[in-house]
Amino acid sequence: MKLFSGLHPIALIVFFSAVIGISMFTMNPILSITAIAGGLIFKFMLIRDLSFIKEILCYLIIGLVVTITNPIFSHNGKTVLFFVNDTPVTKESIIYGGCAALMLISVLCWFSCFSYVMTSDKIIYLFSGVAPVLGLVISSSLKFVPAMKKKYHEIYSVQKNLINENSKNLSKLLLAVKSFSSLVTWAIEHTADTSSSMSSRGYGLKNRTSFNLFRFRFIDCLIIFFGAASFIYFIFMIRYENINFIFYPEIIYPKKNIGYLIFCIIWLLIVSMPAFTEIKGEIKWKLLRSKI
Amino acid sequence: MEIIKIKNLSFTFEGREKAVLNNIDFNIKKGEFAVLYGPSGCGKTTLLRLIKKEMNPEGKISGSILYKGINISKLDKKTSASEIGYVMQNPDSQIITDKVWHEIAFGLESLGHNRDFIRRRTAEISSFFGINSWYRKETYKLSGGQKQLLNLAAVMAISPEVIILDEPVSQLDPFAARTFTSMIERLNRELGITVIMAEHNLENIFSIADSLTVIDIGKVIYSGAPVNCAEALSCNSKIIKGLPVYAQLHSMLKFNEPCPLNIREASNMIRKNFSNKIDAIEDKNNKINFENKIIELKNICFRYEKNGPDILYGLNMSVNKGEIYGIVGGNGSGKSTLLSVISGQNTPYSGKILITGKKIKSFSSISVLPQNPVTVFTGETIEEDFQWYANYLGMDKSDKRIKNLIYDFDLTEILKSHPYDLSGGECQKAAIAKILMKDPDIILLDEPTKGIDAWSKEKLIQILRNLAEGGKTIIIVTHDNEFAAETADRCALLFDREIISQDNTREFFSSNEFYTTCAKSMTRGFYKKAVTLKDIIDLYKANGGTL
Amino acid sequence: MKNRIIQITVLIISGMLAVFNILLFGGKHYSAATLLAAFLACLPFYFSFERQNYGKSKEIMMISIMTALSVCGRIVFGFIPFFKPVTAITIISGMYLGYSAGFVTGSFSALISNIYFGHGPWTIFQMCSWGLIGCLAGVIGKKLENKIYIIFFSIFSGTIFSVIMDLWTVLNIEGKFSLSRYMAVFMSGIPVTVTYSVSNIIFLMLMQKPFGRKLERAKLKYGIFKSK
Repeated sequence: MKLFSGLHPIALIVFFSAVIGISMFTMNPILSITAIAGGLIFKFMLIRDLSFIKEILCYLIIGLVVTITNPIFSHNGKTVLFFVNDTPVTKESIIYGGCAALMLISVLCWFSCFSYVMTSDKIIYLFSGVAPVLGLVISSSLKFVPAMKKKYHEIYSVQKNLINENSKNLSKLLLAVKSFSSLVTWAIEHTADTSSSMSSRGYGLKNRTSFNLFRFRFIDCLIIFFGAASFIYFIFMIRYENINFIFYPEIIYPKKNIGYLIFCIIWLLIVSMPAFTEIKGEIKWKLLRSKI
Repeated sequence: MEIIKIKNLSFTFEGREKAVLNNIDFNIKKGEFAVLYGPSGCGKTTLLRLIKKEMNPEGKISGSILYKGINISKLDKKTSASEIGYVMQNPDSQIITDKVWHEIAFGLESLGHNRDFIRRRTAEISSFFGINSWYRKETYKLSGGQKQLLNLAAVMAISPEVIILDEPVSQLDPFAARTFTSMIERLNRELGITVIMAEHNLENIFSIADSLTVIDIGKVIYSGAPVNCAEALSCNSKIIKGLPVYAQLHSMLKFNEPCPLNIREASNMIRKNFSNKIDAIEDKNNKINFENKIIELKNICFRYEKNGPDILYGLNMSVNKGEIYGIVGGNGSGKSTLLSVISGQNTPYSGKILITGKKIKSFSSISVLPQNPVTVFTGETIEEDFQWYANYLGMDKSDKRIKNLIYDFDLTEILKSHPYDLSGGECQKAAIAKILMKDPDIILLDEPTKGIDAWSKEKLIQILRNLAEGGKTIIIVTHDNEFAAETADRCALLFDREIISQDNTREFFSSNEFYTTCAKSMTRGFYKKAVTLKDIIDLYKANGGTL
Repeated sequence: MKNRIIQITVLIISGMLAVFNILLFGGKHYSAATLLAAFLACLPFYFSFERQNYGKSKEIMMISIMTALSVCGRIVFGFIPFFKPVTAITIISGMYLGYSAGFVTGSFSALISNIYFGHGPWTIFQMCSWGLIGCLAGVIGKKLENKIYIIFFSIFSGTIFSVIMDLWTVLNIEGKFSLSRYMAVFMSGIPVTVTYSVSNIIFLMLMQKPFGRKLERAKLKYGIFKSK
């Protein structure tokens, strides 16, 4: 359905900045796990194929490596579990490693959602709002990359027919470099046409405007407000209250007061929103279809 | 009322001595469909670029170009951008952005229109050009024909009064070219837009042009209505080659009636003036030895992706030594794929390829001339490139073979040039020379007539004939039926993943009713087996006619 | 001159941000703060590029082409791990087209290639480090045509890239900086660093001269970057 990714790019960037920003600051396994769960469900709703399992495996490996290696570098903590080569391995450092891993995974996971939702046209929109030239550079680079890939393969296969057999080891690299160099010539020749086409369509005149197909709706306002407000609230919380765990010398849980509770609820709402939107859309769609 | 007036125009590129344009006088009326015609390298592009201020090449100019009475160089930037549109030859390189909608909106953005206006205009343009279904697509996913249509649409979005087109269809396949030309015709006839179009092949636009200006070596040699041009140019054998077959016929036979503008009129002309007592010519003795098969394809099946559709399925084909074998077929019928399978660039998932009866691993005896011959070169100059390749092949710098190639192909003058500075025909010649350096037995050509003018085409036919006589086997893939009819010994039609029919060229085209050559269509039901202009002339002579 | 001032100001601001982080949060949140700092460090270059090139179609297209080439290079040389022409093209772009062009080529190569390879927090660090390499190449300029300079600068840029990216790894794994872990990560990454440097040397040696000639040709034939 991809309802969430249909939001306005500004709303999306504010939302993702808030989620990723907050995730980076939290050393709190409860918050991190919530974020990971929300992010993974959302990603699953978006892609729904085997690559999802690959991604989870990847996260598991990262998590394991970070957790295991932390005691090697950090010997802080009160509770010594055992000694390896005369260096102490503490309970706190293992738990710290685990929490750091969760934090890292939550960031990676939300970045991968971000990468999926923030398609090139949205990135271009965000850039051209503030910097039209840079927006244009991205846009035309994105046009050139597939064209170049195609051209490269064309040149490669032509050159492969010319350069073959002898000196087998080097020939693949030689071929690639030769073809790439030829691609460079092609590209430079190509720009001349593109730039004259630009100026012939009036590029460089004063008062250039910027056109896009995105529409700003009420829901986008809501998302922006909600994202920004929760980020500010979070900054406030992290400065004056404590929502993070303290690990060394011993583990101290954050105080369970009203502020902390409110923050947890807001966090839950934020990270589950994209997944919730997608699931709701899916159910609605199924219901509508079953009525027909 | 003249919208563009060119008086006494001469132009010399910076750093060169010889002028590319000499004393050009040229007027265009408002609403006219003006065609500029001449072989490649005659100065058409330079002339067009001089009319559009933003595209002016660097160099020395004399004389004047007036747009609505104002000298182009004094024209206000905004007027020039919004009133004169320019479409170039290469469909790919003019596209600026990655999305179709953005491409259409680009010019409007530059002119500073507001959002609502741009939305409305892009909607209008997309509906007019039939772009609706790919409005939100990425530009790189479009076909060549669609890209060129998009370029036209993007230029039209600014609503210019004049559009300048520089050989817009030379890189397209015939079907897309026809679609594009009819769109131009619509713009001209329905909206009254003034069109200036340069072409080196008049086939498609001969009947729709209002005026024809012929340029050769920087000079205007004819200016007037297309009807009269055949007569006026009849003494110029180089220029006449680019006219449609019927116009060439008319100019050769000099009948006392206006030149036909389409096949229907041509057919009438033939029926009126020719006799068909003898309606077929004897086939020449075929020198091809049909027992000497050099390459055989048996039951070839190929697809690009594991779950993709089959591009070739159960294809059988065999080519004899010393033969020129033409494969024709519509767009997307898999002609180029077939070529890539023969040359070993792609491997079929089932079937056998036998070369001189043996299954082989190395394809070193096969050379390919790609669609874009410039991709053959990797050096900065032709000479540098040849030297590197000769070195790579283990040949001496002064090897006789290279010298002979350079001599045979008449490359001495262009040796020092950059491959991208050559015209289509020159580049192709040099590319053929390069692929011959490894001394292949079989030469494959992919769309060799794309983007080259009639004059170069004539030369190419000569080169291919010589090569075939020298014992090389040539396989050509093309959608240019005229070219196939003039060059090939045998032709085959590729359709629906396999070779449907295969016959010697004359039989092949004369038994086709729809997918055939212009000469065959003209003489349909009148002559049997006339598939080229030469055949018609031969039959005319055989029936007692004189030139 | 004004550009320089803006750039220096923003660099100072991003430095202050790190200090601010220590003051406000007791120096606990390096990963987020460095991310923000890296992002801010890119901005002045973007603004100076934006102002220099507004309305110049040829220059804009040239940078787009360079960026697209390096992205395409990262894709087509996928068959050898870590052996990529991205840095080399960024350096060439910087040295022939100027420092802000170099920065934009480098940083946008990261941004755009990660549209194909997947974004992560590393995107911003890659943008920053490739950008800086391109910028430095622009500052050194034509001296880089000398072979010794090429070798030196290739090794330098390969190393600096690893140094910055390893910093990112450590900060993100642990949430704070620890020298012992940094050294471990850096040491284990030495083969990769060496591959980076070697690929930079090879690509620069192979491409710098022809590239220079091609650009000169373009300047002559099409009048690109004529004003400079």
